[in-house]
Amino acid sequence: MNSLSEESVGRALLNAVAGISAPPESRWFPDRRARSGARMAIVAVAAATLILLSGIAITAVPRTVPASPGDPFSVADEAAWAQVRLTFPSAVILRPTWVPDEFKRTGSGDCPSPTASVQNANGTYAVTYLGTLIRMPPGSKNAQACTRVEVKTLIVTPEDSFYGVQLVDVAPINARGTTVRVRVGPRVSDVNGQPHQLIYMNWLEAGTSYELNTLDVNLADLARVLRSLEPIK
Amino acid sequence: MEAGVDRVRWESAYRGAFLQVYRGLVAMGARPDEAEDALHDAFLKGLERSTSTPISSVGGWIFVVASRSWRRRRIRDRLILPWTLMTKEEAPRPDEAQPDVFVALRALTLRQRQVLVLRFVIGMSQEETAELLDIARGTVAATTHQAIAAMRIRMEVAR
Repeated sequence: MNSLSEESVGRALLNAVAGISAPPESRWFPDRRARSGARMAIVAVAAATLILLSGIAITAVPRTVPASPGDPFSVADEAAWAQVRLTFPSAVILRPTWVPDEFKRTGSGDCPSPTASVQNANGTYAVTYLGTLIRMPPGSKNAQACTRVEVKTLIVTPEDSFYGVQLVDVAPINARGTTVRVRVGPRVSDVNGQPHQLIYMNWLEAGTSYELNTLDVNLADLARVLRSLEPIK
Repeated sequence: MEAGVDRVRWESAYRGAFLQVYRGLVAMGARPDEAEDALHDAFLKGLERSTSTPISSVGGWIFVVASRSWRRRRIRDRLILPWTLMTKEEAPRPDEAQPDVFVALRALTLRQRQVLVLRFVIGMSQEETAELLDIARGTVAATTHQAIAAMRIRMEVAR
């Protein structure tokens, strides 16, 4: 009976997966990331040089982010942005030169920071500065989350990236030569009754859609992050 | 694999395995873009890996590496997304009609899903599955048995 069960379920599974349509073959290989050995070596040398020069620049010109060259946060921060740059060599990548103090640390096992997320399939990236872990009351849909400041680009509409959550428009901000749309999410209480809120900004800059969002950073500080964004080389 | 021809061989092997692994990942619950990215990660890891330890089953190896990559990304995404944004379930497309077998499969643990996909979608034997997941053959057999039983119950209830 067991082998018959296995066989029938296995056959049902095989039949069902046959109906899953695959992406076109042009998308099977990570062409943006996969490079020949020689090219990879050149890129690696270039990246090392870039990181070295960044370290020199940081020493010469005081910056809030990274805090100081060589410390764990700076190393992680450089690595996160270098990963984005290596993946998207020709994109205009905006990096904050200021984030609130509580995010200038490497985070914890629960909230490792900063974290780079590169979605090769749709050509987007996000670098997230994570803060403290928040635990939600029992019965909540999500047990926990991290406070954060996140910078990202999008190719989908911003609304889509937020899964349709109800965001409320507040006064837009004039910055970066354009109007930045600002929205806030609902206030939610954690297990200790402390309130938390999402703030979400998005704008178009030189034809690219950018997004900046935060959990638990006030609007004034998020605006400062916004204004501190600079393209990286 | 030997140096020189490694890349061509690996590309060919990867191309041959892509379709089944992609379908296996989506069947397990990965969104299409996640499955693509996970496969890309596995492809790159295959290029980077040591040539001294040959891969006995390319499809199985790619699947295991890709499924781990997908899972890591899922854990990370879940953790850092504010809960106010987490309004959808893990399944790929909410508006997509899913066969009962997928619904039942996705209700299983990750290990159970890996074992079933390796066995029935990728076509690995119990021995190969055990080697790929670094578990005992008896564990593969037991996991398969338990997973099938759970799926059958779920599928019958669904009907």
